[in-house]
Amino acid sequence: MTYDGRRVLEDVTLQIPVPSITVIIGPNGAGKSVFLRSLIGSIKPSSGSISVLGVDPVAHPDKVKRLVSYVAQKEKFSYAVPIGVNEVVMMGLLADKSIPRIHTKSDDPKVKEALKVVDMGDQYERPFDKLSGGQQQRVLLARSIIRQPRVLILDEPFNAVDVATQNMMIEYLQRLRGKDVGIIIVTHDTNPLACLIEHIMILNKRLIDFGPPKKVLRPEVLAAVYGNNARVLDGEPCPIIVTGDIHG
Amino acid sequence: MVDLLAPFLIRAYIAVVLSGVAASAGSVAVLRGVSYLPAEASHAALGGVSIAVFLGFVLGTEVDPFYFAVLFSAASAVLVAYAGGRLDKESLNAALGGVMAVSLSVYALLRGLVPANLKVVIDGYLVGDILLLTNKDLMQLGITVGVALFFELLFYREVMYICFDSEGAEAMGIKVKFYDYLMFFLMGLSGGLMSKIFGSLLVFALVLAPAAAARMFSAHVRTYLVNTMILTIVLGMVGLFASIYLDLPSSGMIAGLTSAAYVVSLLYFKAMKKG
Repeated sequence: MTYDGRRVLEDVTLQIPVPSITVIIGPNGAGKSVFLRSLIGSIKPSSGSISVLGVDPVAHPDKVKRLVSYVAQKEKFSYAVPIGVNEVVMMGLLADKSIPRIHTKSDDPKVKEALKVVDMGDQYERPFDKLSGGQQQRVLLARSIIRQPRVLILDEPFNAVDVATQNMMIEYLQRLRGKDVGIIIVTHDTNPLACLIEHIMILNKRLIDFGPPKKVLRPEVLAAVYGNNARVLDGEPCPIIVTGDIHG
Repeated sequence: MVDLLAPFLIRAYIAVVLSGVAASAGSVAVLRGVSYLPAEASHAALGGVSIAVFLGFVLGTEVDPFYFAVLFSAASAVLVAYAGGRLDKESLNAALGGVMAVSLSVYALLRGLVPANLKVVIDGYLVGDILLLTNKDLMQLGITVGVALFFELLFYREVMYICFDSEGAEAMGIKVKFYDYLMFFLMGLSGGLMSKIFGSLLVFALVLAPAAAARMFSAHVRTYLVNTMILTIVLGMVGLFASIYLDLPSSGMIAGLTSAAYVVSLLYFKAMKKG
């Protein structure tokens, strides 16, 4: 896979089961975000193929975009745009409508409901840029779930997020998993999700390993990717915890 | 005593309203992180005008410079989008500088090759005069503004979504590249037609200053676009009347007012934040 003329990811062959909770880890520049964006057809593989629930995102990007919801890293949003919380969530609905994407009366209750699910029901009209980092992440999650995706992709969702929001999000992800939604998360810190992770994918410009945490999180695998900055500890009830490479 | 209903003044009033509508492109430029684009495009218009005038001179016929001005400025904006690649700030700034350098080189070169009476036509786009607009000028401006406004309204949500979260918009199926090119085209178009009304040198003050000022007191994209239009029209009218009564150049007076509005807004909001 190339991006900006550079080869960023190669030799990746795997099948991520849906539903499941899959976490992707790897150092900065490992190709994690590029991998995510390739799943929605935004970046085309220079060779090989990708299939999302049986649909080729390169040949049928519109079909895939109806199956998948994607939340980019919060740092990539423009806070110069004065936009209300309700408008952000409404995006999730209106993106599927025809131009000029006029919203109808029936859309408002859906937006309110999605905000209620993420405990943001009372922030309906607040400017997005006036929210805390955690509140913003909740709103972005509401925008994703309003699209009722079969697969939810989150890029660094816990960056600059308070513990309450983190716990709320994890609880909600668990509920989505129960509704047969596939969840793919890129994160530098797997600890908050340790008990939920079904598969871990380790990338470092190529696929290092993929499988259940117990199988993948071995000291020698992590050492090959992170050097001496990461280790694996055994614990209860979730036996495996990764420390190190936690970015502030 | 000046007759406020004199035809040249009525044309100027209409031009101020049209420039207000076109100034909304300045808001879009601020939202997209390319605030300088309309001003750059207006400078590129000089290259287009020079080509038109030079062609007319060589062919011995009259070539309307307006179409060359708006097309050249719109094309330069699209070229910036293309050269800017991923549209990150660094690439865009480099592309803006490069395209402006090419346009101004064309302007400087061709201006030197035409006789003095044609240099005046080119210079009319450098320092425009709103009081000298003709009915034909207004018709051309009206159509161009109408086209730009139509697309702005039609693709309002696409513009808002892409400016806010281009990756998310793309993931939801919005053709980000297409709309980005369209946005740049329309911003370039607006910059080009503003150069006809006020002159390229003052487009900065006419497009960027009201948009930057309006951003400080607008809580939503829709109100932001409307506030920019209203601010430009109100300041344009006040500046026009002031220039008439004080016998000062109209474009300069209007640009002075819009710049002052930006500075006052900035100081006010800085003071509010501290307080």
